[in-house]
Amino acid sequence: MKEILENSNIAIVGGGRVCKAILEIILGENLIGQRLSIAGVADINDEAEGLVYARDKGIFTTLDYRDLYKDKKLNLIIELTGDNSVLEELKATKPAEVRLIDHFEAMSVWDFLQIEEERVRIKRDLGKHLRKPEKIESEFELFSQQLAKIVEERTRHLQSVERELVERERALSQIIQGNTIPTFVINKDHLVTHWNRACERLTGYRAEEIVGTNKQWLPFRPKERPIMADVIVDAMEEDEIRRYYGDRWRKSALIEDAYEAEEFFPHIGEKGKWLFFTAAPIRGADGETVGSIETLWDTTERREAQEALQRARDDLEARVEERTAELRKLNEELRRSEEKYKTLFDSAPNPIFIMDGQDFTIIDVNATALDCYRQSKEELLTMTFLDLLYEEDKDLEKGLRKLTEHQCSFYPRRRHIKKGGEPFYVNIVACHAMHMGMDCLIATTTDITESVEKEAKLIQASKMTTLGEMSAGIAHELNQPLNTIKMGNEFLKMMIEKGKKISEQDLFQVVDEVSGEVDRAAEIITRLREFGRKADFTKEKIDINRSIRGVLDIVGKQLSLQNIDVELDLDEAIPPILAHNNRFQQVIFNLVTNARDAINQKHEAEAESGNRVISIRSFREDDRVAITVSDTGIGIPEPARDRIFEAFFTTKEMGEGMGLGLSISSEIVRDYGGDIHVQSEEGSITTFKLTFPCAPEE
Amino acid sequence: MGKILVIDDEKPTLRMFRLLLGAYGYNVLTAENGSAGLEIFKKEKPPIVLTDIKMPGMDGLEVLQEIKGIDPDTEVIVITGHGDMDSAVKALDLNATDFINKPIQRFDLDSALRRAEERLKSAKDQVNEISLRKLNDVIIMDIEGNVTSLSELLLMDAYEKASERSAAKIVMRFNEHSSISGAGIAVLIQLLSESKKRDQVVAITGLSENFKKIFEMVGISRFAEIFDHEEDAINSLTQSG
Repeated sequence: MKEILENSNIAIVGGGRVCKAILEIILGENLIGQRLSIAGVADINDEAEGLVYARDKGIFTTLDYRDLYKDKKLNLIIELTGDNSVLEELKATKPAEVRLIDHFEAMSVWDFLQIEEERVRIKRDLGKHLRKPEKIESEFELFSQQLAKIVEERTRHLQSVERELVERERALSQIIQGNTIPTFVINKDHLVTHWNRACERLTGYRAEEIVGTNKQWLPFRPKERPIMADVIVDAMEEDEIRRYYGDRWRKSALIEDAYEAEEFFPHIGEKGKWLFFTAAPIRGADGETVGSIETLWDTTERREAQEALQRARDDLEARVEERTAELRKLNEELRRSEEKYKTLFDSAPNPIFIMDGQDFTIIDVNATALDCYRQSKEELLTMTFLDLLYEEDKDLEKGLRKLTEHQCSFYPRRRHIKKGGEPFYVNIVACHAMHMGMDCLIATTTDITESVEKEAKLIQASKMTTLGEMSAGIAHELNQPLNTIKMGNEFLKMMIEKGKKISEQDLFQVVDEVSGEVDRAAEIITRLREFGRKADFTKEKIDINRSIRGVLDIVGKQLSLQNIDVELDLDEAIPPILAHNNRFQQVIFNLVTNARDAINQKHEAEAESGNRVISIRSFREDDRVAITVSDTGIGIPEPARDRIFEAFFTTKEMGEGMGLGLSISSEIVRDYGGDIHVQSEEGSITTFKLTFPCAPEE
Repeated sequence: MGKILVIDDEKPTLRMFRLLLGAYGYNVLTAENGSAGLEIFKKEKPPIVLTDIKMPGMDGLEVLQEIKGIDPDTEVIVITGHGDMDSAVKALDLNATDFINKPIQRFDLDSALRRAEERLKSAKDQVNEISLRKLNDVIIMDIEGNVTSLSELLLMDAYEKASERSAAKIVMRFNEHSSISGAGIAVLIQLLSESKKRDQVVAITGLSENFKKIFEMVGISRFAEIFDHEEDAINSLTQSG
């Protein structure tokens, strides 16, 4: 120590109580001349006892020990902080030629300085008392006592250090022992010093069996070989490590100089275990490896979880693959289905339109539509479905707008227009649907022109039948004016032949009468023509009262000749309906002639016929126009009531009726959006009631 | 000339009847319906009544019945619609004098009125008389007066006599003023069908236009050919024989 300290320029890091004591000795009068100098004192605490003392003595002080390095003559640093991290920093940063005495070694410096100070004092005193042996003896005695005191102090200190070490050792053991991580420690002789409970539990080997032996391999390996802790203690070369661990090991990223590896140990536990193990060196104060600590981590569960996860992942992948295959299959089916529908669409016998659900723009049409509407596809795709409608049927739009998702609706007898403006009748079925993710409507139209025409022919034929049935009455009607005219003429002719003078008055009367009767005949003919004419294409607003009166103009006389009273109760404020006048008249005709027949049948059945009345009413019922035709005839028996609107159903005798009147009437009524119902009390009163929607107001 | 009552529901027709019949010289009474007509008839007792058949309320046939019930000697001429032979036959059954079709031709009216006048002039309930005469091999049966159901025996008797003479060819000659009722027609048809079985050939003549139509309609013309003139009827039989 004497050699170290002599001629040294010393810096002290850690300006505490020890620093001050050392400085007091070094700067004291006894040590002057020892060629010791103090370069400076550093402490992070500006008020530290030693630092303040040094500053008072004019010694350089600093808060940053690195300032001390600036002194070129510095050759010794004494570390008195007691802080290992500071010690490590000093080791790393100090200039290479400067010697470092740590706080452990400083103890010796302190002892040396104390002894040296005493020795110097005694030596000086001996010089004074050279001629007094008793004095020398007592001085030596004093020195011995002093030395003994230092040794005693040192011993005491060592004992306390040792005690502390034992305490620390115990604490460490407790830490290791109490740790839940399986841990064991070996010393540099490869003897196991610690084997904690967790390690016992994991390996199944008790600490008593292992501690103090070098059988640390026993739980892990089938035969003796170095394990990771041994590898660390032996500071093996990498090549050698590879002999034992292959490529399954690596340097720890967390702990310096530690190695880690993961392996499956089939002998541990029932089914073997995966262990992740880390071994780190235990170093002495001088940095020498004095042992190794190895921790073990049972990763079996994690592994299993991982494997389970992997399996799940694999499973998932398999399922995804499966689903993908399914999807592919479905797509294929969809494609085939689409092809099928495409084929159906293209080869359907009826025109099919796919249109936008909002503005009815035509999106697609089939070939049949092109043929039927005589349009090219390009033309049709620039149109809306409404463009195809005949002007009066444009109200279809309202119906189409009301369609909700997946709803279908049937629109009978609408008129569509072919290219060039030729109208034709169609039944339309429109369905709401999603097409390629779009809100759309699919409409199928059926050309019913032929059946409408046939129906028209049938209506016409039945009208002619009605006319035929009424021909006797009509002939009578026409015969009346003809008779008057003829008689007037015969009168004039007779007078002329007989050479008699015709009075002015008589002549005027004849002329006047003839003229009036011609008008009357012409009127009847007009009515007949109107009735017999084929219906126009378009419906018109008709005043039903006028139509009813027109019918009575023709049949009224006939009814009165049969002593049938006609009671009319017509609401003059009734709104018009949309219909064809002559078809509507045909319905009234049929009802009136049926009523007449019913009254006559009752007359034939009973001697006393009672009232012979047909009453016709027109009135408004809610938002509809209603007409009733009642008669006091024979009535309709219950079983027949349901069938009277069937075609060819008749209760009349063979040759008297075809059984088409009511069937055609109900067809006609329905064509105008109307309803027809019958109520009948046999033998008392029968009422047919028709209702129609009012014609829309302009 | 006497009174004549016209019943028709057509006012213009009545007005024309007034002019026309007035020009004939009749005192024309008119009624717009059956019951009004009967009232007038009861009050005025016109010997001749013209009535329309088709009328609201009481129709012409009822009027005819009522009038015949009040006075069977009244000459009732019914006015029928064009071609309405059913009504005509029904009227004849009810002993109508004649029927006239509408529109009324002056010729028909003339003859109907003339027959009525003739019948009024001759004895009121003139017994039917059938006389037979022979011309070569043809037996001519002259039928006077009206043929009704009452004429059956007379006709059968005449037929018997003709058959006794083993006549194969018979001409039935009706008087222009004769009226033949539905029952009379039935008797005729019966006799004629029997004649056919006996291979007797029959021709008919002397019918008014109206009765010619009726005979054609009821099918008598299938048993016996109808001729306007007697000579033509005789000639047809002799030539065929």
